[in-house]
Amino acid sequence: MFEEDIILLPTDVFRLIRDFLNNYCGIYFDDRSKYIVERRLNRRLKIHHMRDFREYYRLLMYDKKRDEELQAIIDILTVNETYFFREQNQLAAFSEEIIPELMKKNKDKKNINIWSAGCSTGEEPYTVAMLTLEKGVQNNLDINILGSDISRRVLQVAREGIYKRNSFRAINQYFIKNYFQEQRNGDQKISDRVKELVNFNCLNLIDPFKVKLVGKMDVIFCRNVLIYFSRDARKKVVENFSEVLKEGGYLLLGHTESLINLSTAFTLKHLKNDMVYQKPEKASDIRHSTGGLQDNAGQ
Amino acid sequence: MSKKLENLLRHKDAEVRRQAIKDLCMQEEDLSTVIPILMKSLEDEDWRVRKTAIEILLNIKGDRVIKELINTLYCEENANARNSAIEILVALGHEATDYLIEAFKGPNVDVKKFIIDIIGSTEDLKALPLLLKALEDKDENVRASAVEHLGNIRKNPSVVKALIATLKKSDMWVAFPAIDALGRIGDKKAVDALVSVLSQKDLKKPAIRALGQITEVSSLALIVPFLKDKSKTVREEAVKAIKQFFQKGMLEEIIVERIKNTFGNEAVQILLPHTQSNKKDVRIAAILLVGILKDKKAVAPLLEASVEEDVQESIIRALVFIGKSMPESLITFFNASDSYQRRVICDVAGKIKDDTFFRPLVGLLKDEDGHVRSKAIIALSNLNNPKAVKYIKPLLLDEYEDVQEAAIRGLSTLKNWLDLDEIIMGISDKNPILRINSVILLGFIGEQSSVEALGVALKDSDSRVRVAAVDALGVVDGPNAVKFLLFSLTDEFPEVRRIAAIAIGRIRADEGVEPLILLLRDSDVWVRAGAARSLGAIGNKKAMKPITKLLSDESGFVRTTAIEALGNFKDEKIKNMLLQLLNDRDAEIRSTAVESLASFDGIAQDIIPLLKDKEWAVRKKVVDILGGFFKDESYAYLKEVANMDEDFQVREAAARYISV
Repeated sequence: MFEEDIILLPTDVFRLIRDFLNNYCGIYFDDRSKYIVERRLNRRLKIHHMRDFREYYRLLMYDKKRDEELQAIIDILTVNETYFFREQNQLAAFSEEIIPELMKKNKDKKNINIWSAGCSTGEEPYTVAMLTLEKGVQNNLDINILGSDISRRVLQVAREGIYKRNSFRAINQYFIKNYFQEQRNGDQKISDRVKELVNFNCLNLIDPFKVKLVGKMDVIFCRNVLIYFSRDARKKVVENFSEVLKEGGYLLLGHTESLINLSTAFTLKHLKNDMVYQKPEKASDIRHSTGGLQDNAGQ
Repeated sequence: MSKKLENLLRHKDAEVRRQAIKDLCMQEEDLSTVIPILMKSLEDEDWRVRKTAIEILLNIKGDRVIKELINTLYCEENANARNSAIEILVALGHEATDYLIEAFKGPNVDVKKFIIDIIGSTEDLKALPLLLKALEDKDENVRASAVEHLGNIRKNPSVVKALIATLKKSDMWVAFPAIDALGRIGDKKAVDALVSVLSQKDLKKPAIRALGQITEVSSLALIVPFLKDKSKTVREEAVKAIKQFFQKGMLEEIIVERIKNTFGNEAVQILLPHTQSNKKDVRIAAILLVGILKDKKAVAPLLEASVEEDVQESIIRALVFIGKSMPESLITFFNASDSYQRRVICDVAGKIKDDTFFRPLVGLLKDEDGHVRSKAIIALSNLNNPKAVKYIKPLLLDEYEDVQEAAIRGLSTLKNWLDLDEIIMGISDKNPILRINSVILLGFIGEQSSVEALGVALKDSDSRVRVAAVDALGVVDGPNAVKFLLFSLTDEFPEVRRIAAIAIGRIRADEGVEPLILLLRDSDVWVRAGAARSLGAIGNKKAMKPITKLLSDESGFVRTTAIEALGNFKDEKIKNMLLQLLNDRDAEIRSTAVESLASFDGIAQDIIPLLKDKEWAVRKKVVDILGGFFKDESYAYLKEVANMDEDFQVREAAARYISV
């Protein structure tokens, strides 16, 4: 957009649009985001030949095709920055402690289900897939990894599985060599054996009905996603996770995120490499709220 | 007082208690009965009840109320009552000053502090001697409070003198507020005293900040060395203070000279780390200073920091400083490996407008990143070089719409060197993208001679070309433009009809009224709304009745647009219809109806009940209309909202209107 064409977003209307989006998908834009929302949504106004943001707000409220518009907004407004092997300690905990435990535990069930919620362009679920392959999980169990995001645009990238340099800032060369194919322009394409372990789905994390459809999970990764949600929406999302996570299943949040004051349905477990949240085996096992630092490592 | 009223005052529902004290004041005239009850209500746990009591006490005023309020200041056990008393005494202003001065003689230090806070907030000059006297008080909190409030009294030599004297006493307890107060006052007489405390470890940071607020030329040289202070927070304060000098109009050359005199060529290296600070104000200040130093070593780090959207404007500004004096220092960065940096460098080049950038910008027209191409086009067109036309023109067919749009914008900037006939020929090109963009470009250029060509574009087989053409005709205008637009109202493609309808409204073509009325029955929601919007803009009364039919349209979008359009007709029947919509279930409808009623006389009383609407957006709209158009008659209501509404934004808006 050109500076002289920018349509200003009045504070009242910003709040209306912000609350509308928050109700729709839980993502929350604080007052400091007004400038960015204004700049990024201007193009939408132009596409619809709209004179102001109030008219645009009415489109969101009343138009029959508003879901399409909301999808477009989410694509424009959400930050999708991610990369392979983000937060190494946690991945080490997953690979060296959680996977072996699940391999034992799920021996009879013959499968292992992992969900990367808010997976953006797919680096996280593919990382998880590479780690499970490295551990040889596929030799004994079926690996089902689901990557979900509310933005269709990022899922498109995830499905293509072709990545630029920025996505490889924390990856070991070994993984590039073994799980990617270099393209002519220097981009890297994820190999088919990784790709076939991962399915992608467009999902609104605050929608309990859609979330239930994913089925029961052994591990849920939801890292650096909740930070974009309002408090109420975070609660809903965590409740939904609790519903679909198997007893004894793990919830892995980003390092800056916690369940303090959000949920008491999980206990904090100290593993060798990191701390993770776990859904107790039985409801009666919940002895502490998640805010407390309960150490279950010795159990 | 009746038993019933007594019970109501003790009722568990706060709203009942609030109403009870309101009723009491209506029914009871004896102040000796009313005042104690109101004073008691100041202790209420609910803030609305307290606010109502405060309002009533403020209306009663007088000796008795003031004395009771001062007594309440001693009421240690109930903070609500104390705070309410303070609020009323502040609002009473100079009426209470004499009583407060008298009460200050008492021994209770808490009360003395409250009195200083109250008197200080009223800024009553009669209380100045008391504030100055309080600087000598035995209690440090009283002294600190007096200092703090003296900082609000500007341009009074005795205040500055007293604060300087206080600062010299080395009383650490009041030194901080004294420095802060002197900074806020901004009197240059304080500079020496502030400079004298720069050597004190704990005071240097506030002193630097205060000197930055005063911005006396000679003190700059004394602040600059602190850019290398051991303490990071002091260094940061120095960065911000030096920026203040620039902001308050000191010539950049003087600032640069002072910095370079102290640090020589090292200056940039000292400031650059602050451009990465996690404190935004420090970061922005440092970016500016690095820019005015005009050192080419800063270009690369600044570009690296430019990925953050919220500092990008500051970085561009800094790079413009550097690039204006040394355009060649930017050239290598046109080939930066990071496309984000290439985008920024284009923005910078477009602002500097130096012909040195012509070739590099032409090179970036072929960049792999579409954003870079867009920005390069705009920068190139800003150079105002006729040779740019031939390089930009092919980008009308770029794969990305953004780039095409930039090409249109860029070419319209260079319109003096464009061949209009050539663009018109583009309308007949076999490539629909070129046809669309040629049409849009003609709209931007705005030459009436292009109307006929745009008329031809209305017959294009591609609906996108027709949409572009009707949009352009709404801007180009001219006698035939309306004819063509009317013709487009029957287009089979709804978007064409809608944009044509809007364009007719934009040029307020009265001959469009009849066809637009027909369009109110269009099958497409957006077309109906577009027609209603334009009919409202034209304002022909023939359209009034047909638009009212849309008030029962199935689409909320159409209904709200119709309500807005009706606001343009000053008709009693319309007014009554809009009044009925104030009870609609949909908050957006109520809100829009309130807005449309703004143009009618005497509607204030009708919309006042909506100050209690359950939706904040409706209440805010009512506040805006009352405050903007009917302030005198609604003053009391706005005041109540400013005090009582549960929503901060609504309260703030009401407070703003009543304070003007």
